Amino acid sequence: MRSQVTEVAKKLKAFGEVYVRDGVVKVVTDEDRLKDLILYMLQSLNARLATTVGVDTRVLTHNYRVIHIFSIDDLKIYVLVELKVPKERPAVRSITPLIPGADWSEREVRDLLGIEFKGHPTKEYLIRRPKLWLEHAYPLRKDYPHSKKVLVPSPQYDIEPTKGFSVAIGPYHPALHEPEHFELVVDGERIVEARYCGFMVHRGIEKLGESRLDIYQIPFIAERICGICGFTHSVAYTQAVESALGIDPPERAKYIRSILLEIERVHSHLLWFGVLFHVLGFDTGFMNVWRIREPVMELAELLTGNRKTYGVNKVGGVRRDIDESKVKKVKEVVNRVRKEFTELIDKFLNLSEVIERTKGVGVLEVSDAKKLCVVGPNARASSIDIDTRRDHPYAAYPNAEFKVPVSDGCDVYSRALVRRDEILESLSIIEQLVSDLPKTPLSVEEVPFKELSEGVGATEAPRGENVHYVITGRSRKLFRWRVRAPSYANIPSLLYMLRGQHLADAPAIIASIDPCFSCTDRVLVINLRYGTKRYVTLRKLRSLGE
Amino acid sequence: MSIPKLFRRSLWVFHLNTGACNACDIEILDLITPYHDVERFGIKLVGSPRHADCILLTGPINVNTLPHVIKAIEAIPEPKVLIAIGSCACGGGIWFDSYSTLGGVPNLIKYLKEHGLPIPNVIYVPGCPPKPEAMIYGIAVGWDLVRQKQVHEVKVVKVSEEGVKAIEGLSRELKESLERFKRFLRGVKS
Amino acid sequence: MSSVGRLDILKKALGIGVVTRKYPYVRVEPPEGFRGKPIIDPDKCLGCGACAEACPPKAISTEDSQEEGARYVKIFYGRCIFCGMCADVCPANAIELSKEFELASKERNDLYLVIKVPMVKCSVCGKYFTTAPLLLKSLENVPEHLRPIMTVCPECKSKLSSRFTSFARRVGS
Repeated sequence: MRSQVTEVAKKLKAFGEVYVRDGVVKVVTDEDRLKDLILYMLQSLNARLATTVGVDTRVLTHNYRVIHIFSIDDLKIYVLVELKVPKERPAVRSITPLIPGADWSEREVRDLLGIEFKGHPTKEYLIRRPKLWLEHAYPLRKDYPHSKKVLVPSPQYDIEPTKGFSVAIGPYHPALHEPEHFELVVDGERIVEARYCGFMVHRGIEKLGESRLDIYQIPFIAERICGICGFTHSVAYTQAVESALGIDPPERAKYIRSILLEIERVHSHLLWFGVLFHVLGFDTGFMNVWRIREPVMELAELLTGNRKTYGVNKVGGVRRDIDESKVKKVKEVVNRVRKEFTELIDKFLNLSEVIERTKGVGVLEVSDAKKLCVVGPNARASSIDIDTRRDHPYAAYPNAEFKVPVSDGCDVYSRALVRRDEILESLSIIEQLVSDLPKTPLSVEEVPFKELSEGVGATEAPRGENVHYVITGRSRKLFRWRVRAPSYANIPSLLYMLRGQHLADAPAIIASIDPCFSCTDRVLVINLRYGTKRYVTLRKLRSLGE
Repeated sequence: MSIPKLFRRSLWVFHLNTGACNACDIEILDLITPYHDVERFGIKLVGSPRHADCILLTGPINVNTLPHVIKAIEAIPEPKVLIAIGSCACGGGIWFDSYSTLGGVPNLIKYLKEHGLPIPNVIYVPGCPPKPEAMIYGIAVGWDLVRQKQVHEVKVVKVSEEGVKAIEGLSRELKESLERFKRFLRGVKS
Repeated sequence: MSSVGRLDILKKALGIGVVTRKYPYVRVEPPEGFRGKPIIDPDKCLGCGACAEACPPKAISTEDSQEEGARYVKIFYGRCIFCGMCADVCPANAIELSKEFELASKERNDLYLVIKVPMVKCSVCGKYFTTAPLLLKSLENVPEHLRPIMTVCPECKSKLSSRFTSFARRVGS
């Protein structure tokens, strides 16, 4: 792998200065060579954009920086493309015309840091609400205090009703358990256009990570980014910091982390099945799947002390052990869940009601999925074969054997099949890893600190690839922390999936990509074009969906 | 006003997520699944605030959701109860001082007071996330079916007699040596 | 085929029976190692404030009161995330996470635990500067002849030491 890294570094020398460290290649380039570099990476190296980060480095180098993070899955490396942005009237060239998947990340940098992107297709805000937020408040700049509220002193809280035949789903809707706002412009029963105004769960996590918290407290806030896939965020963060500081946690800690990650995947996919059946009106399926899921939650409580938000991760290892008596219980629960799940799931998925409402519904073409850099089971259901556990191996996954299920149906039904296979693979991984836990300490003795050091950490969350990028700062705090959750990349694909579908299928399609709005909403809101029709009540929509 | 007098029969609840991470929300959904099954008490999750008796609020009240939250709370007909679930709602959680959150139900009550809006009764259920049993306990406490276990406690740390004497002795020693030093200095000067 | 599937599901569901736990009519005991309410033992607490530094949501806070000569260590359970960092860093092992999870209350004031720790006056200026248990514990590691100076607050200590060094310099010259 080292030879592949040096080869890639040599090829990229033509576009700027290249630095290599720990399997991460960094290219510092400028606006003139940017387009050629991006085209070269997309076509010759088959790279996929993970995210875009904006950093306020005015205290260090009197300019801002914008960093695009790419993943080359075949060669298992990450490439960072860095651009310098001038301090006065900050503006830089946008890459959205080349890669539509960069749309949201660039808008986020614009909203929170005030850097303009020249050539970006739209000027709409992502997170900012003009009526509620202060005018020139850029929270991620270093001179903005983290506790200064952005709320205007006298906000108006009258919501304008949408004009015309657009159906508003959200922000508080019985089919959704998180606040988000979809506006569907309809023509009769068919959806013509979809609009997403989310980002109501933006809590300022990245700013808190730089200001009030030190590197030992951040795993706890990382775990609360999302209550369903929180442990993956915690592991990705600790991996990024460990890579930045050059620490290697002991083997037993890696095994324990992998076991808990797979337990989380099982519980998340079972939850997803329940929500899908509930949205289709099949409550028997919902209740039975959540009945099967309950022993998994209790197992997590036994192993970590809490049903969710496990809190066992720390920089350099783990805080709790899995001893012999718990190993027995783990195997018991795995066998029970496997037996009950395989008995019922095929019967549920073969019912004509479920098949008719999910086959051919919510189709995402392969070319669209590639353009938008979709990740996770949604990508695998559109025949894109990517999985971070296999492509950028981390924790104890090199020691386990597992298959990555891929399907080519591209609709809601194939997403269900992919997730069903993933549950069975996860149960097998847990069994393999828990049977031979190595006997090493649980964490490293000392954590040596290095200032201004970069690290990238990635894990495969239940919804897709999770990327954390970290720059360490002074006195055991961070200078910059960037979280790219998988739903960030998946939700823009909804707008393609909803077009031309029946209105009554909308909740099922939205549920099928397993959106986790709390992972996504550390950033802005998107606006789409506006239709003009009559306002339909929420209750009517729910009854249409059942 | 005592809650049992307001609601004599079953409780219809509306779930409002003001920007939470979802852990509390999936535990709320867990309440209607077979292992905990709150429908045996008559508690039902409804789809519209107009049908609800009480509101289950999770999340640290995000700035972007503030207009919607106020509209939803106003839409519930009187009498109404607000149950704050989780550490984010009870006190702002780990992001109590972030720039884009209000900081939980206590700050929401302050905000409603400032803008002259009516304030509902509140029940706090701490936890991160609280166990489903803890939420059932919270509703039982609100209805006065069980006595509340958690009360304000003050504990005083006592220092032993010898410890107090030792500190006083050392203090006296120090003052004596300072006096001696001052006299020595005066002696040197003269 | 699908009607057979439905009958099978119905048979399976009836075969499982009732799984509901009849809480609150039966007690529910959390497993060993459950992270419930943190409780401070007043016999061991030193009043050092390490728990307040380590707490991620700042649910533990310390407040010094000069009128009463006491330090108040307050835990607000409403904001506590039950992570256990306070128990990990406490030098005296005074905090323990119990198994208590039934913490609901109708008043916000009920969610506080307050520990009152007596403080020690500075021998020179008379201001309260540290707590008595912490001072007694740190005296164990200090040699006999240096113990009296531990009863002086940091500002007075630096003033005294500068007086000593300036005197030593004059004597030397």
